[in-house]
Amino acid sequence: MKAFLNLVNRHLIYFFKDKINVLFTVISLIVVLSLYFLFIKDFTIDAIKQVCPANNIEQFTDQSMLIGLILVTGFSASLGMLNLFIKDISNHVINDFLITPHYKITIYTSYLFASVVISLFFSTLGFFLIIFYLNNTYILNITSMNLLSTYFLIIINCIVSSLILMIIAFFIKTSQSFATIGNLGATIIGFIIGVYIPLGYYPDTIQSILVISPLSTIACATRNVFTIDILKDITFNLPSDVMHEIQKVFGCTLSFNNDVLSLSQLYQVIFGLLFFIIVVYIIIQQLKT
Amino acid sequence: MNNMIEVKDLSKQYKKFKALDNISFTLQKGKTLAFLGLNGAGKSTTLNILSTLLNQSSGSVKIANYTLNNNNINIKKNIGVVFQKNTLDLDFTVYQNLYQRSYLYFQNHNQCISEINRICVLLNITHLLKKLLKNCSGGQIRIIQIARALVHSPKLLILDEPTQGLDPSARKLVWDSIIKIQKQTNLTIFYSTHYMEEVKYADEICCINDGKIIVHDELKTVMNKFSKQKLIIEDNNITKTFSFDNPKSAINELNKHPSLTNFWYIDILLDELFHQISKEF
Repeated sequence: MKAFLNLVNRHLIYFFKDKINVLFTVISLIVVLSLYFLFIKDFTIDAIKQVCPANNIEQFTDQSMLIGLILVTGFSASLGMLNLFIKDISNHVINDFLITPHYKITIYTSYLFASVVISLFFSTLGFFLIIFYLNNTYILNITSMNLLSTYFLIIINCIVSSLILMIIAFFIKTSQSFATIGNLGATIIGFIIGVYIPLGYYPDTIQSILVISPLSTIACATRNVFTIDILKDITFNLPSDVMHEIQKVFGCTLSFNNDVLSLSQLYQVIFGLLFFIIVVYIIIQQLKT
Repeated sequence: MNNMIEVKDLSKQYKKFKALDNISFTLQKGKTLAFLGLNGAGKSTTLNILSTLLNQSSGSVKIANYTLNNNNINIKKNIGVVFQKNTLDLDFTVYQNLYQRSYLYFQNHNQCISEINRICVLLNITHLLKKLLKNCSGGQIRIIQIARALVHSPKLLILDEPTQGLDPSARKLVWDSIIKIQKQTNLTIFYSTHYMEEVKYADEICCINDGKIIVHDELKTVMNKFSKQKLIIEDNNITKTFSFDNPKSAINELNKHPSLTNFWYIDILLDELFHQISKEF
């Protein structure tokens, strides 16, 4: 365990020594938040107002969309960290670790763990920023339990993002290729977790497919727990159908075969997919020579 | 058992390409073996298998009496590897590099410090400890790599072309360090090289070609078998070259030329050694 933590420490020091890498990770967080406020926010609120006549829809929209952006940040930050893994492979630095008396899985998982730490660090930073913003702009309406659940799902998102990128990284040989694939991935993820277009606008078939995408499912569950209190508040005097319709449109839940998945079902899918990805990771790292 | 390395019928197949074809050899404890071969001959594949970085397709390997694949953790404790390219972190200081790597073996701060001090004194690099690795010269980096490989006191040191890309003075510096360590610790050394003059540091030579071992014997035996001394005589402005197996024959030849104006006696040409062996096989 001490050796594992020593390796993680080395990777983290290396990441933070690369100031350009850190700067771009921070910038990407600022850029996604700015993009939301400059381009996506007004368009989304206008669209939602046509569907839902409720008051405080702005706060709900902000909460719903901003938490999605934090999930993308988790993925981007992980990308920066795992770039070191690719560099260490291409420079053969990893061989220097693989000849030490530790199992391969310890060496590889140290990169994965460091990636989760970095991803969580920037996600937490972003999470605090949006809490600060929401609290100052509106009155933050969320129970402690739901706030904790949101943070728990952010942690799961960091783990899943890092696992997915690590699995991809096993098949990549250069950091340039990894950066290209990662950027492409970040763009696709923006769509599949409903950052650019709310998931409710996608056809049912696409939504059914998205259920097997762990990041989409996590995004839905996170939005669900992060917005449920404000949503209950703003739809207090409205028929219950309105609340479900808003949840569906905003991607606070997903449909599978035209059935809307409940929060507990979303959790089941998330943990099932997480287990599956971990198994794939273990198999692939064993096959890696 | 007195063997540090025992390789038996080792093969490595990459799809249709056979990198190693049933090679077998042994290396006794405390001995130094030079592993020679052209590019693509199978040197790096062998070294990577011995370093536990690559799995063999068939055959068996024993290092320090531990069987490869069954006791890899014990093998890793007993080997130190100096890779052809630098595998240390350039943005870290020498001390940070050595500490980080030694911690992977000891997981104990005090032990790491004492082992780093021991090896740095032995290799005379204590003055470099605070220096960033990227500010060290090529020769210094290679010696620091050797220090890293030896920080856990392994029984076997594997070096993959340790002086590749270094200038002659840096090469000498590296070899002086390796010899010093070998004398003091009775380390078993297995190294590959392209520089034939570096063969002289070995007790044994092993030549590999197309994945097969073509020669494995003691250095002297191989040199006597494949290499000849040369005598160049300038007699009445005519230059003649003679080859001999031993210096006595050369003296006899010199006595036949009382009017010679100049002569050059050239000892075994190591560069030619490998060509001779390659030609033979």
